Amino acid sequence: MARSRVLHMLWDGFFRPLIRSMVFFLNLILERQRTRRGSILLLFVVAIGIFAFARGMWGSASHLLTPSPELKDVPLALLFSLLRLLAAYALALVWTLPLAVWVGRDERISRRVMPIIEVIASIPATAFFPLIVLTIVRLGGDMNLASILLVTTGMQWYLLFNLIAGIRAIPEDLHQISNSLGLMGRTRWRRLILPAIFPSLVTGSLTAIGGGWNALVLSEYVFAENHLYSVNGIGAMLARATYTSGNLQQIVVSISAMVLFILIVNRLVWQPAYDLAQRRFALNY
Amino acid sequence: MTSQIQDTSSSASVVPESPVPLLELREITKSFPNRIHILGPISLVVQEGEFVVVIGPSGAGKSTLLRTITGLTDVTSGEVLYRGQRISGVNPRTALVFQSFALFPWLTVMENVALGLEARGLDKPTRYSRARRYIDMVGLDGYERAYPRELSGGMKQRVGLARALTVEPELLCMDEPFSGLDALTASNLREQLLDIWLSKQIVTNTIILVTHSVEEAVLLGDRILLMAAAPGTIVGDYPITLDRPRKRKSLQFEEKLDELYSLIV
Amino acid sequence: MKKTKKPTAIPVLPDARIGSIVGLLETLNEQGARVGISKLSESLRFELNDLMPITEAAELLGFVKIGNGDIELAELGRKVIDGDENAKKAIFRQQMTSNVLLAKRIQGELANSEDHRVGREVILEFLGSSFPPDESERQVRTVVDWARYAELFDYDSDSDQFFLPEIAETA
Repeated sequence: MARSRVLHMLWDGFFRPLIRSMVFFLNLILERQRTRRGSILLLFVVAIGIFAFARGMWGSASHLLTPSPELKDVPLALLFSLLRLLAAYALALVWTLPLAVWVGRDERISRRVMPIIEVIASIPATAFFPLIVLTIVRLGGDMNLASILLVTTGMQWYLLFNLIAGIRAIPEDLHQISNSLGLMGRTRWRRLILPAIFPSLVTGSLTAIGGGWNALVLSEYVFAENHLYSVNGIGAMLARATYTSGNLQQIVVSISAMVLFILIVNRLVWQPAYDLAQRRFALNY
Repeated sequence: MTSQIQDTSSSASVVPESPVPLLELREITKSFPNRIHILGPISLVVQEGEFVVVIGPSGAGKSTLLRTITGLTDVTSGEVLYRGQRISGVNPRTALVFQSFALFPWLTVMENVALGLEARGLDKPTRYSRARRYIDMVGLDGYERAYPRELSGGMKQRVGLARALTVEPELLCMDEPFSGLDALTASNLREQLLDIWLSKQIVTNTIILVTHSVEEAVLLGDRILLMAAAPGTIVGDYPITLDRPRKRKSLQFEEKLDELYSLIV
Repeated sequence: MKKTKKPTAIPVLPDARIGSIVGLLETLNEQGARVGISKLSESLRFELNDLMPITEAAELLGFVKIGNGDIELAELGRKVIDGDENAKKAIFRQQMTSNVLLAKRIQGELANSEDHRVGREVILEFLGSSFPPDESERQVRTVVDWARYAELFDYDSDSDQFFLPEIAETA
């Protein structure tokens, strides 16, 4: 398992901070763009620049800069990783939402169950990745499934805690008036619960997807019992480039693809969702 | 909570002796799980057509009383009878108005007002046209598309009132509805409520209103119930026979007010 | 206090809601039509600072007369109280159109625009030449409150636009 640990250390200690600072830095530049078109344009320019670098169009004698054969597979790998991320998100949501409603509504249940949840959540799942992969493979599942489950572990707690907070924040008088009006079942979900927790769902999903990325990268390329388990994905690409081929071009392109993708999703998904949550769904009026 | 109405009245006699009261509380008490005895024992009869105002100091349990009356809260002992039948769970023939307005911030005025009908499964055109009637009645005409955050306190409470009236309850219960408003807005809204009540344009035939203002009680009520605290019980029951419209500056009003103040102290 | 660079061309729309204005008229009616303003604020337990915008608004609309520290219900104000809901709104509509500059401006913009919709930004800019941003936004909120009551025009907060509601409305 030593090789897994090396990969984890490389990720936690170097690549992840690198990606985060790049996202942060580029975000600062993007903030100064007034229009959404402006920021997409800027990102596009940056993407072209990176692509040019990757294709070795910045003439250089170094053999490290020869384009790797994997370069053309980057978009597809990104897509697969994204699909895995979304599947994991859906899986996490399916079990955290009902639990959040159960725990959040009843003070007595909450007091008893929360400490247990907090203990379980503090266990770092990444340490158990190789073990989990082995178990799933032995039970007959494939690596894709294992990868998705691993990502879920990195997402679910952020989602759960935010959802519980959201459920708790629903004002008691709204519950009472709902009871008085006879608001029940699906209509109660549609008109009261879901809109009320929308802001928490946004913040929870935001942090969950962030945590998911982290788990994703580590879940796509796993050493267990001297066997390598990997799937087609951007995290696997980065790990392979770092650990096996040492191809600088590949590393740069993988990282850049991740950074760009995170920025685009921020602009197109999280920003508007957050704005909407503030405008229409804020509980204080 | 689904509501169940169990028939505990005795077998029908051919000639009814006296009209069955709209609401009857028989020796009800309310204690919370931690054994704190909040309310009762209270026995009370309210006839159809009354405008009852409940006054008392804070903590007297007035709000809890309203919630047991509407079935929002269960009683610990005793019975709540609506038209002679025992109620358990929320009584669909009642509606509530809260001091805090309790509006849904993400719904427009129209959607808030029509909410009770949506809960009952009516389709959109039907709900909206019925809601529109009550929106007009409370003076919110023109505000259908506004969100609660755009409204002043008085407007917000009008939404609360319209929402309650739209389900066409027989019994309307109001918990300190004007306490969160400034004097001018409250006075404006009180006038509107009285207009609606006296014009008899609504299905509602009985109102129970809770307030801490004795003046408001004399302005609005046909009957004043005085509550004392710890545990909450009814210690006074006074009819008000002043003619409407009641003017604060009139002699009879001030006399009645003084009379009540002396009884309370 | 912020100094404006040029003299204020647009009169301030007082910070008062419809409910308070009508409530003031009803109170004056009850208290005997002519009252000293400070006495009124005492009896209502209103801070004078909070009462002023309401009395100013009532005066702007022509419902009260103010002079010598007294406030008196005007003929038009009496008509407001005596009338039913529709009559009240009609009077508000008439008075807003003739006395309230901001409402007139918005009406004008709505009439001139093709789809009878005007963006919030346009009106904020108009106000911005004389008022700081917070104050401009406050005035927009107030004029929307009045206009909705008077059914003069409406405001869609999802798209941040003023608009004229259709006359025959379907659900």
